[in-house]
Amino acid sequence: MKYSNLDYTKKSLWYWEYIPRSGASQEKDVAQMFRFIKGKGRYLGSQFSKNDTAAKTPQGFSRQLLENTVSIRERFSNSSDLIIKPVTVSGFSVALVMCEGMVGLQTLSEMLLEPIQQLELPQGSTPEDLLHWVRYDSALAADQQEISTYDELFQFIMSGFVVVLIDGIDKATALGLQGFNFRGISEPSAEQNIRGSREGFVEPIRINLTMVRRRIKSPKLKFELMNIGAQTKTDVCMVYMTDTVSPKILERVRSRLKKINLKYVLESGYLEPFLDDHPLSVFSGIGNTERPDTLCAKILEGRIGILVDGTPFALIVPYLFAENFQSVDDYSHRPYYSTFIRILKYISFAVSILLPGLYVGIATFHPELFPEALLFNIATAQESTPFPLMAEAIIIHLIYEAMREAGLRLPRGIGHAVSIVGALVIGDAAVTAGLIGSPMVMVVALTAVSSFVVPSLYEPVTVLRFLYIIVGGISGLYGISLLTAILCINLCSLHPMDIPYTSPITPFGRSALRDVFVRAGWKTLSRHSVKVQNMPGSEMKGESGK
Amino acid sequence: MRGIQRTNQITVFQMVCVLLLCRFYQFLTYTPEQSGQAKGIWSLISVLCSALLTLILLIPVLALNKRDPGLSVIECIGNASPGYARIVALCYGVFAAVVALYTVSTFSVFISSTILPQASMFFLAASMILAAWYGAARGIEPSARLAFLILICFLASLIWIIRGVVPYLEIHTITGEPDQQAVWNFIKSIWSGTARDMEAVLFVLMLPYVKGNKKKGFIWYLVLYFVFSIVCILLMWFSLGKLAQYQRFPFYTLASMAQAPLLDRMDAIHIALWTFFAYLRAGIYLYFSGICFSHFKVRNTTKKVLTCLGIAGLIAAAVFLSGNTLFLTGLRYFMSGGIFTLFLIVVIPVSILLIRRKWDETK
Repeated sequence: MKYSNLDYTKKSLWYWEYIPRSGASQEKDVAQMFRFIKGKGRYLGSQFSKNDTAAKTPQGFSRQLLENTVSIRERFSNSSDLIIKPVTVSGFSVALVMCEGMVGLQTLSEMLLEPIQQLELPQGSTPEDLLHWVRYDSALAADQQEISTYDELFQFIMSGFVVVLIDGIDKATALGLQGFNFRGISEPSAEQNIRGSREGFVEPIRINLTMVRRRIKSPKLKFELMNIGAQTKTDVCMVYMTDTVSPKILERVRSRLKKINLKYVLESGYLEPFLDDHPLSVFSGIGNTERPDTLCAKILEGRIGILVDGTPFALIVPYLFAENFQSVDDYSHRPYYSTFIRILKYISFAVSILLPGLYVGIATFHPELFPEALLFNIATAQESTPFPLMAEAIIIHLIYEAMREAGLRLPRGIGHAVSIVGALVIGDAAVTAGLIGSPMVMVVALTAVSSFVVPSLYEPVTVLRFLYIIVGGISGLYGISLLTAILCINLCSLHPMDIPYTSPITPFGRSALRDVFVRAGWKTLSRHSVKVQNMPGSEMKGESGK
Repeated sequence: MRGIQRTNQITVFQMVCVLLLCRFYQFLTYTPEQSGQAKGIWSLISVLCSALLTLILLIPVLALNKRDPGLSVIECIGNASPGYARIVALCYGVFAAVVALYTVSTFSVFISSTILPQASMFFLAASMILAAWYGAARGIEPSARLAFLILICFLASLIWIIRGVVPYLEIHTITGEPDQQAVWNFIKSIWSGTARDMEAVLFVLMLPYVKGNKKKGFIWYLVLYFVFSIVCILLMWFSLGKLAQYQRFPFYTLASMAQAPLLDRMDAIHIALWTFFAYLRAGIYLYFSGICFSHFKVRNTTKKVLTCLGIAGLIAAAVFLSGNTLFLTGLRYFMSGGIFTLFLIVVIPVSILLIRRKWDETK
């Protein structure tokens, strides 16, 4: 790389200064500058790719037990939670490898240690005979896997398995003797209900799989496990009904999951942007749930559930707009009550988005819409406050969001204090001090209550609420209508997995009359089987697996 | 070029919703200057006759579509005469852009003279065009699906208006005053009604994007629009009487009269709903304008620059027209004159049919 035309006062990887010589053209200097940066970038890239290449080749065990144990300690960085227990079984050296706290001690003792201590192989037996006994002649563990590389060993011991290494054999056996502690099955905090199951998913994925299997006792229910995350190797499981799911949707989800190139996956939300067709949209085509009964209901309609180890939130693909207003309770109560609640949810959603903006817009630009008595009250409140209505609305809603977030993060004991302060600050002190008007307090309260009626849409509602306040404060009902039109176009243009997001509202389908705005009785619902790929406007109509 | 697979397809029902919505917009911002000369019941009959005339004038287009189903008018001539195809694309593209511009300008004038007198024309025009551009970028299908929802809301509001206006109805004779040039005025009304039907050109542009029996759909559109026109005209006559001729926006006046027990003035709510009409109409015409201009092959960078320049130009033109009612009226007269419409729905398709026949014979 020649850059003799340039004098460098300071040269480093990250920045440099140069003084061009007299007579040298600026364009030539700039071209040489970019060549220099490009060359540095190529060099760094080659360094990183060398490391990645080295990490990709899995290394197998050797026949020497000592060599294996030394290698394991080295690769595990001598971590203090690694346990390698040497034992002698019928004269053969055996090492039990496990992570502390992952294995059930009683299970380990009863299922593994006692049997192998009591084992007496005939004279002349070889290490292969011992391996055969461990694999086929004993019942040390229901879940056994044969492994041959260090990568597999680490993955299993970090999942709670015990790995048995035998001197003289370059293979090992992983025994499923997990006994790590986990949170007990309890009612999900985010999806409570009045009538229905009180079970919610927990962090270990295997427990969650059993909860789904217990509810759908069908051989068509399939679990497809994979690992995602270069460092965490998190267990991720696709759950679907083979006779109901659309093969195209299934293949699409599977290929997207396989293409995920993350280093760590600690929550199901990490996977969402990779599965969503419109990750930048305000609304998401991927749903989530903590409830096994909800997940089962979605799977039976042809959707795909995705369970992630380490989180109780399962993903649902695809997820349509109308499903945000459906809950498990709807199908347990009588139709008239469920219909009433459904319509209430739609109204609450509209109120939570539109009410503050409408109030600001109408009070500022179209006060003639208010009845006289209300108009006088609003005008009186407005006259006594120093801020314009739009600023007042934004400030008070920001304060509310800050207090809501604070209440969420604080310990319960202090959280009560925050609620009291919030009520005093917003409800009383601010109004008495003349900072905000009492109608605005009412608007905030109604908006806050309405936004919690549909918790799955809380994120878009929060952002859109502020947009509506700003637009209403600038241009009244005209701006609010325009923004609503843009929002509706955005909703209508979303197609998660090639299924219209607003289906079956638009394109209109008769199922909209059965289970969207109203909830028909079970005798009506049971006459029609619903599959998500058959929704009106879907490009996957008629497709289902075998 | 047969059988082009289009991903952005709509049903006949959605097409009817789009056409109705676009046509209703003209009614909402209708001014007495736009009316034909026929008086009394003859004006109602002229609406029916203009619908029939529109259908007759569309015969060449339907014949062209039957010959090459799935292809647009521009694509039909693409192989036979690429140069002429570009001219056709330019004509339709400019027409669609002008209609979008006209929609934005008239609505800006409407809004500034009713509910937002303090708003600047630049703000109204720019916000509407930018929003419509977003809708156009999303494609025809989301707009068509939204059109259905808006029509449902509009029907509900129309029922509300009728309910509110019923106390003010005075049924009187609708024969109107004696007219010495009744026949000539009747013919002018028919032609005026046909010329104002810019949605006939929209129908021509939408043909390749519609699945199903398009002719039947267009007939339904004409029938439904005729019914709506009769209802609204009768409402205006019987509630406003001669006052309707002197109102700047008679339909708006009608909506203002409809009161509710809790809300005295609901015209702002109606106008909020009508904003959807203007938005969708501008967006749909912008979309087809873009489709027509996309037939000119330019580099992607140039395309982006031209799009931005085009949007900026539209905003500037809309601001200019909104602030200069003389020019806006002139544009309205030009569009309502019918020459442009006739050229696009009759002359061009007939010429394409002739060129294609000659080209097929020589092949």
